[in-house]
Amino acid sequence: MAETKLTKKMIRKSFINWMMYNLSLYQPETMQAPALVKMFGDIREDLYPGDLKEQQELMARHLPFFNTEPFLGCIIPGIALGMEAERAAGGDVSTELITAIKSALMGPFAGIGDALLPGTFIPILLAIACGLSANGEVTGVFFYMAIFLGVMIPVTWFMFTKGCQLGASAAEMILGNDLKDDIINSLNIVGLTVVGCVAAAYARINISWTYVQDGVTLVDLGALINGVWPKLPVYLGALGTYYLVAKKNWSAMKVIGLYLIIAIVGYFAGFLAP
Amino acid sequence: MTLLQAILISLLGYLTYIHVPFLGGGLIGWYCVGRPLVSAFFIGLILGDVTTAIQLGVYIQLIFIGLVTPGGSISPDMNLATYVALPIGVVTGLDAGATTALAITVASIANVMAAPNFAATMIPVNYQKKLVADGKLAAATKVPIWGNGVKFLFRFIPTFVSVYYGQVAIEWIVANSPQALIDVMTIFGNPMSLVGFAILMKLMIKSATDIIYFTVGFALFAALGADMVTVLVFGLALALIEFKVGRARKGA
Repeated sequence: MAETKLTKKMIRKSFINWMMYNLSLYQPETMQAPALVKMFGDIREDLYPGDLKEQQELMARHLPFFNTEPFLGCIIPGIALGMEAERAAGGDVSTELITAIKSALMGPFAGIGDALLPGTFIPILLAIACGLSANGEVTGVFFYMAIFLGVMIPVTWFMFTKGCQLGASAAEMILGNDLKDDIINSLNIVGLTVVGCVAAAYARINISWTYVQDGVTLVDLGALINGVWPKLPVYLGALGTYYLVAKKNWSAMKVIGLYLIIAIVGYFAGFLAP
Repeated sequence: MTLLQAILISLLGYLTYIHVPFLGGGLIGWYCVGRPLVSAFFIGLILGDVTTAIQLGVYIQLIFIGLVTPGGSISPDMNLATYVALPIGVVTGLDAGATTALAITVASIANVMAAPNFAATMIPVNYQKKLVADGKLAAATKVPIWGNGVKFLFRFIPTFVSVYYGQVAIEWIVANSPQALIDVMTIFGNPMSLVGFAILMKLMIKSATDIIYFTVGFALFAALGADMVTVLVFGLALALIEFKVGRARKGA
C-alpha cells in the first residue's frame, strides 16, 4: 500500500457513515451519491487540513450518480476512500480514475449483491426462521437477528476495509474468482429445498367438491387428490405460479388478481373452501 | 389500539423503512428489524400480544420472502403492508388468510406514494449540491441526516392514519360482512405465499431440472412430515454434491 493519511478511526467513521446513510436521500437522479458526499465530508479535514478548495473539490466530485447494492457493494466506497486517501497524501491518483473505478464496479456489485443478499441468503434464513416461529414462538425471530447480523456486520466490515487497503485490485479479486459461481449454484439448491418445504408448510388450497347421492358421499375430490400425493393442489399451485411469473413474465399483481378471481369463482362453484 | 400504540407502531414503521438511517442503516433497519417476521415481534411487544403477532407475521413474511428491490424500481410496499395489516390483524382478530389479503391490498395501493416521495427527496439533494458549490461544506455534510425528514412524512403519516383509523373501518367490515365475503378473502389469502416463492424460484432456478430440489423439500415436509432443520440438512447435502461436481468440472 502506498503512503496514505488513513487512520483506523477514519476508516471506522467512514464505514459507519456509509452503512447508515447509503439510502437516506435515495432518489432516481443521483441515487446513493449524497451518502458518499457525507462520508467524504466528515473526513475532509483529515484528508486536506485547512485547504477549503481541495475539500470542496473532493465533495463535488462525489455528487454525481452512484448506485450499487449498498452492503456487499460497500467495497466500492471502501476503494474510493483508499484512492482518495492516497491522492490526498500526494499519490499519483487522478480524479478521473476514481470516478472510472466507481462507475465500472457499481453495476457488477449491484447484480452480485442483489442476487446473494435479498435473493439467496436472506430468504433461506427467513424460511428457516418462519419454520421456527410457526406457532408464534420468538425462536425464529432471535435466530434470524443473530445469524443475519452476526454474519453481515463482519462481512461488510471486511469488504469495506479490504477495499480501502487493496484499492481496485480488491474488486478484481472478488469478481474474477470463479469460486463464487459454484457457491451461488450450491446456495440456490439449499434455497430451493427450503422453499419447497416452506411452501408445503404454509400455503393452503382446500378442494371441497364432493358428490353426494342419497346422503352418501361417493366422491370427495379433495381427499382423492391428497391421496395421490399429500398437498398435491399446493404443489401444482406453486408450479403454476412459478410458470406464470418466470416463463410468462406475469407481474405479482397480475397473479394476485388471478388468485382473487379463482377464489371467488371457486367458492361459489363449491370447489374451494376456506 | 391506543393512540400511543399507534404512534409507536408508525414510528417503528418509519425506522425500518428501506431509506432510513437511524436504526443503524439498512442492514439493521430494513434487512433485519424491518423483515415482517422480526417486525411482528416488536409490534407484538407494543400491542401486548407477541404470539398472535408472530403467527400472522410469518404469513406476511412469506409473501415478501423473495422481495428484491433493485435500484430505481418501484416494488410492492412491504413496509407499509406490514405496519398496517399486522397491527390491524392482531387487534381485530383477523385470521392468517384475511391478514395476508389486507397486506397485499395495502402493498399495492401504497405504490402511489413512490413517485411523490422521490420528487420530494430532490429538494434536500439539490440543496446539498448548492451547499457544496457555495463552499458550505459542514452544512452539506449534514443534509443526509435532516433530509431524511422527507421520508418521515411519507412513512409516519400514512402508517399512522391507516393503523389508527383503519382499525375502526376493518372492525366494522368484519362485523357487518356476510360469511361468504370472509370465506372468499380467506381462500384468496391462503395460497398467497406461493407468489413470493415463485419470485424466489425465478431467481434460483437456472434450468427446469432444478425444480426437483423444490420438489424434494416439498415432499420431505408434505409426505414425510420432516421439520425445517431436517430439510435444511438434506438441502446442504445436495448443495455440497453440486459444489464438488462444479469444482471438479473446472479441474480445481
